[in-house]
Amino acid sequence: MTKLVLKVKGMHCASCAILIDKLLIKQAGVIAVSTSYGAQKVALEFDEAKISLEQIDAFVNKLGYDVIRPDEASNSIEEEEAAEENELRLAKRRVVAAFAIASPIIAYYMGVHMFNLPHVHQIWGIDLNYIYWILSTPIQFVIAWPFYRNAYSAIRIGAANMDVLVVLGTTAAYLYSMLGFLFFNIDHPFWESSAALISFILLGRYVEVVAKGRASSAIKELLKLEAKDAHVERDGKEVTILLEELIEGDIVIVKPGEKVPVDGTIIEGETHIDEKVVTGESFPVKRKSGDEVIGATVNLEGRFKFKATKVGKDTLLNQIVRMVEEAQAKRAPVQDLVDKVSEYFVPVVVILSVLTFVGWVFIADLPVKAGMLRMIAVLVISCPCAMGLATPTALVVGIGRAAKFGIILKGGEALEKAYKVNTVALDKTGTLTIGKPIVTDFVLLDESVREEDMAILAASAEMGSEHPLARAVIEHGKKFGGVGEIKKFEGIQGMGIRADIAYNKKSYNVVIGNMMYMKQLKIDAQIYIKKLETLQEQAKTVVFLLVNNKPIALIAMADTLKPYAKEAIAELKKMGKKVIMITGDNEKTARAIAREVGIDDILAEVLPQDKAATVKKLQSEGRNVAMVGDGINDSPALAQANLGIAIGSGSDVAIETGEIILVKDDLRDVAIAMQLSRKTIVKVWQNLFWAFFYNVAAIPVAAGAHLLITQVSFGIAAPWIIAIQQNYGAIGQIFYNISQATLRPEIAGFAMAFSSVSVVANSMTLRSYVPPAEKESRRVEALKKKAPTLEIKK
Amino acid sequence: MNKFAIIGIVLVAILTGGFIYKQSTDTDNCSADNGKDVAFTVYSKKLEWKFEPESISVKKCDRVSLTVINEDNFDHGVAIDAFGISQRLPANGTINIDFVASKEGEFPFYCSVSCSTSENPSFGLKNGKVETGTYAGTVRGHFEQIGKFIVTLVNGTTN
Repeated sequence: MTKLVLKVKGMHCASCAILIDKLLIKQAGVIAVSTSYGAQKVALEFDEAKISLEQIDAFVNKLGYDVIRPDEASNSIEEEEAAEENELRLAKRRVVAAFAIASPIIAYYMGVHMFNLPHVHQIWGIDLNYIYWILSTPIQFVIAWPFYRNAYSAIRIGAANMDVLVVLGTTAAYLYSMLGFLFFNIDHPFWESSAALISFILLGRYVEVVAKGRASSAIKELLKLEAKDAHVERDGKEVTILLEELIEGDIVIVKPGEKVPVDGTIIEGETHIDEKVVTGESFPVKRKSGDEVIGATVNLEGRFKFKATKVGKDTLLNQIVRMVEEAQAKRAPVQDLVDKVSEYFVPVVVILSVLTFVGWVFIADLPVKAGMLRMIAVLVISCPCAMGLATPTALVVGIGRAAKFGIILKGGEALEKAYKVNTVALDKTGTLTIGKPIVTDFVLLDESVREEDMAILAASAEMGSEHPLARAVIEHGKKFGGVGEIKKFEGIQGMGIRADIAYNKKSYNVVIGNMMYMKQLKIDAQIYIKKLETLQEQAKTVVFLLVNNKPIALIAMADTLKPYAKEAIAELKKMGKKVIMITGDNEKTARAIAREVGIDDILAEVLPQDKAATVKKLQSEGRNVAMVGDGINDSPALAQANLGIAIGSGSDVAIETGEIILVKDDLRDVAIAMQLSRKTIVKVWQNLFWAFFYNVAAIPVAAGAHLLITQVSFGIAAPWIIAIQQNYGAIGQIFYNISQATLRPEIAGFAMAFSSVSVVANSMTLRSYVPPAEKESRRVEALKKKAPTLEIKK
Repeated sequence: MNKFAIIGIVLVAILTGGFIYKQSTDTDNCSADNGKDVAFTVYSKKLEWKFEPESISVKKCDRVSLTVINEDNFDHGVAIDAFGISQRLPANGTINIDFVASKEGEFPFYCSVSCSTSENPSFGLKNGKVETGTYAGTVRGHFEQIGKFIVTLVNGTTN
């Protein structure tokens, strides 16, 4: 079984994606197909024993599209861009050619129809219709050739897509004009319909190509971030090699200002690294020996060596790119609805157009020509392209925008789920808190000593210990620089440690331990009990520090909140979401953290295996739950929740399970992800409304059905129309003219192209989304800039 | 069943239904013996945006032969919606339109292509005014070029 996401070339309309899905899934061995028109990609799952990728490629080729197989893929971004540019250039050339040839026709008919200029059908004794005939023929059959090709392939395989409609509409208009002019002396040949319509549809598609290029630019920008080469140590010498030649385990040297080529662990040196490109974190982070570095991030100052642990397609950057690609290729449930509608749309339109013809010719008793005119208008107006564009463009832009903030949405489904969430459940340790204790208070009990010395002594003593809390004391001591030497060390299980430390040429006996240990050592600790209990109430773990058997300090340790956790909770509450904390910790600790971060509802002492059941219980209360977690133990809950949000710093399992991945360790992204999802889904519905509204409203007008209410008899306006005409001056006259006219095919074509462009433009506005935190900081920046001038004014 | 086959069947059904409807409701009864041949010559007067005559009366079922002559140097059209007539009237040209007046009523009979107005200075006007003719001094154009085509019942026959 093989799972692949591949680029597809040649898709020009949402119907194409449906076509590929529908036909590919029927092939033996193909398990799942999901094609995205917006992302120009297909997510394939197939059994290689039954069907090869070459066979799939050949099959798709037969449909008129091209799957780019990995072996023929041009991985380099330059080639990719060149190919896209070429596509863009071809689309542009087609548009330019179409408009160049069509412009005399368009200009003439626009002048005549919009400015009421006289019809002059002759120049130097030549009937202009001959010229229009000559001009529109290459547009119809050469420039518009791809429409014919695609329509043919669609019909051959038993599907009817949008190209079928274009071909039907324009060919009918062309033949009508030609035959009418040559044999029937018609007063309105439709040269401009076929020419202008094709030109406008081509223009619409050109805009789409540009839009699609922009939508996937987030990915391209990510890939551009990769370093081109790397300096590695080979046989003790430093050599520069291409990134592709780098293998796992290589020792890589990174100089100041250079990009870290791949993921790895530092073995020598320390530095500050700008990780913004991958994590979105705006401040440079300190990295030293033993720390992990991420490929494509920028080394700001020091020179360091690291061991490459992940290279090529396994690096975090490439994983992110792949996830975004998969997400864009996945379909949202709302698309199923759209697809169903599109699929039935073409046959319904064909039937409607014939009904229109029958209505005018057989029921209204008009000649065939009058019926044909309206039939053509119906065919032209009903192109479902705007409808097909509504969902994919919004999703592609929304997902791309989210990726920019370091939020990976795994597909449109995640967006839709995030939009529906009303309850956010957060895991405590590792999600709300950093997940490892730090020293929060160092309360001196003896005022005669220097705090830093005592902290250093405590840290030095703890160096011998492997207790998790020891780490916190060591980190705390490190802040003061300097370290003592352990001469003797003893750990007492469940109580504490005792050590002899040489520091500043003196020797100290250091004891760190709990109340129980104090009792055993017969130290009178009762006088400090009040201080101790105050700290314990804040859910902190407190130990005594004795130096030379004398109580010196209370060391309080606790897990602390992640930066911005408070702001994130406040933002979620502001959005009207119910926020619940789920933790395995005891009630007291949980309460303390909850109070600090601003959460009202907690579910404490929940065993890891019960987390999923707890989420289920919340769901049974009718809640739509998003679970935010990071650990392996959160994975079942992430899967159970309506929406799983995994913190990027967490385990791989959690990231696999989550539907939304927050690359940087910032809880505010939960709110951003939900806001962006809501905005995207709203955009989808807006787009769908406009596309549907347009088709539904325009078809009856094109069919001339409005004449049933605006005219009482043939060519005679209804009394209410005449009343408006007489009572509302110029506006009344315009209304009268419009009400008495049928939507002419060329106007229909223009309106259709316009609707496609407006849907794409509406989706593009998603790119302007700015998260509230950034908005706030921009506001503050602006105020800062303003402040001096205000003072001057005073 | 094949989708196209279904669509095809539906389309044939609609067309057949329409055809049958027309046959069953066709109350015109205009056969060769209940109408006579009538002929009219209509002029589209030069720079007047006016048909002459402006009103044409016929009896129902008459076989009408219209000869329309365009005196202008630009195109006009002739349209009567009720009979589905809409023909090009080339500059300085003459066309013939033959049809049966199968519907009773008063129908507009108008120029079907946009043919500008007398305000447009490209039509040999002086100081923005039409030099000669019945409508000198008034603005006329495409929307004014409407006549009446009246079809009355033949005495004594009811349909």
